[in-house]
Amino acid sequence: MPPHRGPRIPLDQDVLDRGLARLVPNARDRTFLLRCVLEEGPAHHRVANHALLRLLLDVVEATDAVLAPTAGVSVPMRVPPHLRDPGVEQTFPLALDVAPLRRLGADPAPWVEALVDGPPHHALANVLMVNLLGAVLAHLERR
Amino acid sequence: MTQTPTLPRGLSSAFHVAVSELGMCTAAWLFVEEVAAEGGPQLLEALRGSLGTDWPVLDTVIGASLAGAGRPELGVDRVLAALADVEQLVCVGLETAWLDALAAATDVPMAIVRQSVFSPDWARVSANYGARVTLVGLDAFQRFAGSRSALLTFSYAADDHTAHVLPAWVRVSGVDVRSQFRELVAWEVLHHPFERWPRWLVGVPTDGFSVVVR
Repeated sequence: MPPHRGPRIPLDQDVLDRGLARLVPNARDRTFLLRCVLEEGPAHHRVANHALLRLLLDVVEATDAVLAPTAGVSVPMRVPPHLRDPGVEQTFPLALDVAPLRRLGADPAPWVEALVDGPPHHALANVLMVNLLGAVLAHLERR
Repeated sequence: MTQTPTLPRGLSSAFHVAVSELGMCTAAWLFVEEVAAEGGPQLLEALRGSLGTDWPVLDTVIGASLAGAGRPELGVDRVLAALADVEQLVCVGLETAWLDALAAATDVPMAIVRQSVFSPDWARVSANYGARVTLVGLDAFQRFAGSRSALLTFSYAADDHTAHVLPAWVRVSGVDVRSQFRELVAWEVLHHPFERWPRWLVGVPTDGFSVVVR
């Protein structure tokens, strides 16, 4: 297990907020997701998530890929099972785009299960990255 | 010859009960206004000497009152703005002057976490709100978690770096919970800096909240 420490790099959250605006149009939802990905996890995760999302957004921009909210698999909050309330939206405001996972095999379920599992700083970063990659791949396939 | 007003016996116990069921800042302003009406600045100084060390929020409110300040503006509109689109609110701590105003200003379902170092009579607290507010234990408040849910607590003399909050907030806002609520709101109630060490409270970084409403 790596040490849960990391370099203290000033992270410009506004860049990611702007870059993800078309993927997650609701500003408060976006702020919530970015808090989970960039502020709640261990420092080395925050820095790594920031770096990877920044680079992926650069790829999106360089390829002119189109970002839009994705339908797909909801990312559940890890509320203790006996406290789950069907009357409350206990999923994150972000859905995993399953389409790019079909490139990995006919059944995306095992990939989905792994990608949305774990603490939010893992699961949400996974989903954001898959969705960005999915947008780029879909764009390249259309060319 | 007029008799000089004096503080009644049992005031400390009475203040503790008021704090437990109303909150430190709400109780402080209530007692300060009553004592000032009874005996003016002289009796307020006596109250400060009697209870100020044990109750730093009261001490601060007395200081503010003696300096000419009145009750602070509640800021309900600013809290409502911070809670835009929220469909479930979970409050940590009691400050009834603020909670009462918020409960009257919104239809958003409200819950209060039944956790306090002051050991209030929770049945009496619940009776004050009836069906408007649900009391929920530390073991079950996560059933209100969600991407349209908010956790709210009260801060006392928050500055740009540190917010003093009730210990219940620290019990509630663990790393597992923080990402289960879209908003983590601190609502400033004191608005004046402490002159004494703020016992009963714990300092947490203000950047741990999604918003500090002042």
